[in-house]
Amino acid sequence: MDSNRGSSKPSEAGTDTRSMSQAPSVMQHHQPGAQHSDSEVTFLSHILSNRGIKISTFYHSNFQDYQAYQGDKYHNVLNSLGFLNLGIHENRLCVDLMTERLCQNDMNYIEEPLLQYPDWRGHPFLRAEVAKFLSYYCGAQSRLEMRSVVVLNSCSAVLSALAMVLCDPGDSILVPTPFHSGFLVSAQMYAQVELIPVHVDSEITNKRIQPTKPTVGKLEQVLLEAKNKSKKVKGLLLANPQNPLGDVNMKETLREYLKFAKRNELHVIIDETYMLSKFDETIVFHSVLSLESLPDPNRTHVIWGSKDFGITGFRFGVLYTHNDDVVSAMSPFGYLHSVSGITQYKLRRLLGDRDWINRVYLPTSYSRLRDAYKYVTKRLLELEEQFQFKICFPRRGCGLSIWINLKKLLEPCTFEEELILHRRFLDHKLILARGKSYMFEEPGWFRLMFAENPHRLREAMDRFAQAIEEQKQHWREQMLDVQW
Amino acid sequence: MFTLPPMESEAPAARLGSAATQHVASLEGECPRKTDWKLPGLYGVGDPIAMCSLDISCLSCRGRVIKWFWDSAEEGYRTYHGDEYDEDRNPSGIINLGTSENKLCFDLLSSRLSQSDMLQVQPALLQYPDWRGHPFLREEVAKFLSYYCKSLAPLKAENVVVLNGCASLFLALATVLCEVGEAFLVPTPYYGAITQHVYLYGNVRLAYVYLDSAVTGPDTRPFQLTVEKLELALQGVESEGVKVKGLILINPQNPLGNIYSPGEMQDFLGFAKRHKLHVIVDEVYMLSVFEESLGYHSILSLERLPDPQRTHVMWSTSKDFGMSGLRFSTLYTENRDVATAVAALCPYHGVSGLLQYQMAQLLRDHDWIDRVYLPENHARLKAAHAYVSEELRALGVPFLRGGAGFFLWVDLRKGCRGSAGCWKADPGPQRTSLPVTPRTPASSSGDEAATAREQPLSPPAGDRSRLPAGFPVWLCPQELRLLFWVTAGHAHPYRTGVS
Repeated sequence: MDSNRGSSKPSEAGTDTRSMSQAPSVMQHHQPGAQHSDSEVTFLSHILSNRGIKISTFYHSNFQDYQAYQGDKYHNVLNSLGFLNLGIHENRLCVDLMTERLCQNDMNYIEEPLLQYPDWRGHPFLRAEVAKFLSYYCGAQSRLEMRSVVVLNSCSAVLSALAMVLCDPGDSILVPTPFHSGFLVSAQMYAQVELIPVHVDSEITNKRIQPTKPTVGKLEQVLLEAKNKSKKVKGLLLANPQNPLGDVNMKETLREYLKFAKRNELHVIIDETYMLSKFDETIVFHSVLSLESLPDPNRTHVIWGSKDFGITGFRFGVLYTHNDDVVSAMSPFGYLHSVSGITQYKLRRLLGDRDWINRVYLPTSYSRLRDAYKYVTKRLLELEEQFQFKICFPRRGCGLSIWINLKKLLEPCTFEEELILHRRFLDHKLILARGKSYMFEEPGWFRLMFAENPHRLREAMDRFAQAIEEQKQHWREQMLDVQW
Repeated sequence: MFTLPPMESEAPAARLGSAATQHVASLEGECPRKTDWKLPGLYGVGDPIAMCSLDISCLSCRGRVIKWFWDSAEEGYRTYHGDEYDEDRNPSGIINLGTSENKLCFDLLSSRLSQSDMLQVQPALLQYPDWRGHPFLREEVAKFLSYYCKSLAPLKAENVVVLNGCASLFLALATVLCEVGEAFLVPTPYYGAITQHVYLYGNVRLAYVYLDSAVTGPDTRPFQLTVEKLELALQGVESEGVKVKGLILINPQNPLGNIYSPGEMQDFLGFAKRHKLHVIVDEVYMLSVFEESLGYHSILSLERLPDPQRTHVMWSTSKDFGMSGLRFSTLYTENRDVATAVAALCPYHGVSGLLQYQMAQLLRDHDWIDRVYLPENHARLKAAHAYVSEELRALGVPFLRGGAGFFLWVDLRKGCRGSAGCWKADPGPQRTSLPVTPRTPASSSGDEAATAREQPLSPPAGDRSRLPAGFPVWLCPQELRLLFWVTAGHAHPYRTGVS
């Protein structure tokens, strides 16, 4: 659930702010694309609370495109003019495998406890299976324990509940940019926790521009600036593999981040939700749970969920933490973010089928992700050639999307122009996620999700090319107007 | 936001509505909760965290409060899970009759849920959905409610929002209708877990309209809610500086097991309209009215709602279809802004696509519901109710007759012993399996606000020597909700041990 629209903030092209910029608010950042009139707001204010109005306004402005997509989805036969959504992150490449697996008989078992009120941390049978699953796929040094597992109905819910129990209202968490706007919503919607962006620079490597990872020095700097502004920073939120960049952290880097957090008594929340979505064999992913020892196990919390298996519609997310108090405090949220007993049972069967995962699912997923990535990068290179401009996308081997730089299409390179380009894609019924919604300070970046079936991906790239061509044409016309 | 409670060692005697005091008894029968029976007036305002004591840990301040609250509230439940009754493996274990779940029809439900139409998997069900609920499901919900609520005009799918349980619905409505610290009015006794649902994330409180078991004045039945009582309670609460934004009505009533008539509902809605209050109508037991003479009517069957923009109806398969573990609930409201605001929270309270499909299949199967499920369910509920009623009469225990839901509201005050007011079950040679609840009063969270002022109901004659004995139970003396479910398949509902 990415935001697809937002206000554009005037910003200089290539600005590299070293100081901490104002922490984004989910309500401020996403200014309504369709403003309510005064009379509508007055009416609303009589019915909804102020926070209800903010929530409603946020939904109107940020879910318009998503709702439009839901009501008008592309279908190659029935609706060939429908929306293609490469702006939300879900792995659609192995739906066939997953559908087949979920139809097998072992999935259709019903017993009384599944229909009754459960342990709100998740049924013990599922938590035990999750512990085994994570032990194996994270490469844990010793067996992980079910008592350290909590299952809720999405990674967003896990983050929201963690924000409630680790932070007080108004507290802050550091997050390197670019980061998924869903983090912002999860931290703020209920928990009222601020996310302080740690902006990173882009560097040119092999003639390609890519954002860098934050150094510990950068984290220290942003933390100090926050403290100087009397902010209470309680944690550090990392995504590994990173979304949208697809970066993975080396073990040593992870340790450095964890040591930094320990020095400053910060919690570390690590979202490892794409840990099985790497498609480049040369990439080695290290889960934080594979480290020999954690500097501060009581303040290290790992999130995993539905992305790796392409089952975002299942609605589940998992927390692993050694801190029993955190597990206990998360329990009441299990009532509000509960997962159906039947779903929990199917999940248990899925996660327990290591043979199917290792022999069937993962190899197929990797190869299809690899093929899709190659196809999209090939098309992007062709567009560079065709339109004589650099798109500049960093090479990656993990995740479901490419972070592409379309600065060269923006004149001037501002967030307003970025929004106009975003709308141009929408005019072609193509949804991408724009960099502003990732709190990225440099305009012109877009996230293009490629884990879509080949036919739709081809159609989507055709529309992308058409939009690029139109943008270039528009630019040329503007230049001519200027000359005249 | 969570405000930290004052660091008190004891709650003041007049502090009511605190969920802090839980009636968890040790084996010695000590009950730490306070036992002030005298309620000071017609209303009260809950303070769920009044008696929290905070330990130092890695958690935030509110995290510690949440943990403390949960640990206290669930201690009894954890003890129960550690010693659950099983007729073969643990016949002396704890029987839980404190949680309202219909376990009577698992055979019917498991059979229906295993049929082939339930087993379809389509790609769209595995992917991000319309957050209000898949359109096919919302269509079915609208048709289902139109039919079973007997609405005069067909209900609309666009007014339906689907979430993962009524707890989430209460939270979502509290968040979008109230500011922090504001309140909903709720008549007591009420299903106490609502306290937590609206407070945990939403920081919304409950303001109680206390009802009396004594039939006095113009009342015609115990615990009768009237507009006059609502008016007085509202005035009183607002005089204490608490802003009331809405009224919660549970119909059929939990824990009383009775219903509000259409005339009463119109009066209550009229009251709400006069004061511009939202009305949240929880109809989660609407198909669990096994006493037809009660004459239950859904609010959606009323010809005209006084304030449709402020009337929000919730329903769920949890109770009526005995599926509290499947986590599925629906909101019906004509107010698009409320529906939209609730939908914005749905990513956090979403229902799995596969389950949405199954629920659509279930709700559209009127034939199975009308011919198979409802008649059998009602018959079993009625039989279990009759059995327990008979047992209670024989024991000389007064209770409200009810006729809806899965429970009886029982008066055990005469059975109270000891200064703590808790009833300790005496060990004895003869055990009955008279199901008594180890749960906190009328709730899973143990909100003491569920306490109602009571005078003894007229007890039927009975042999008081047949008081239950032998089970490790702990009871709140002021209210006790008995469930009367029986396990399907048993020839006799309970193994009484008494021949």
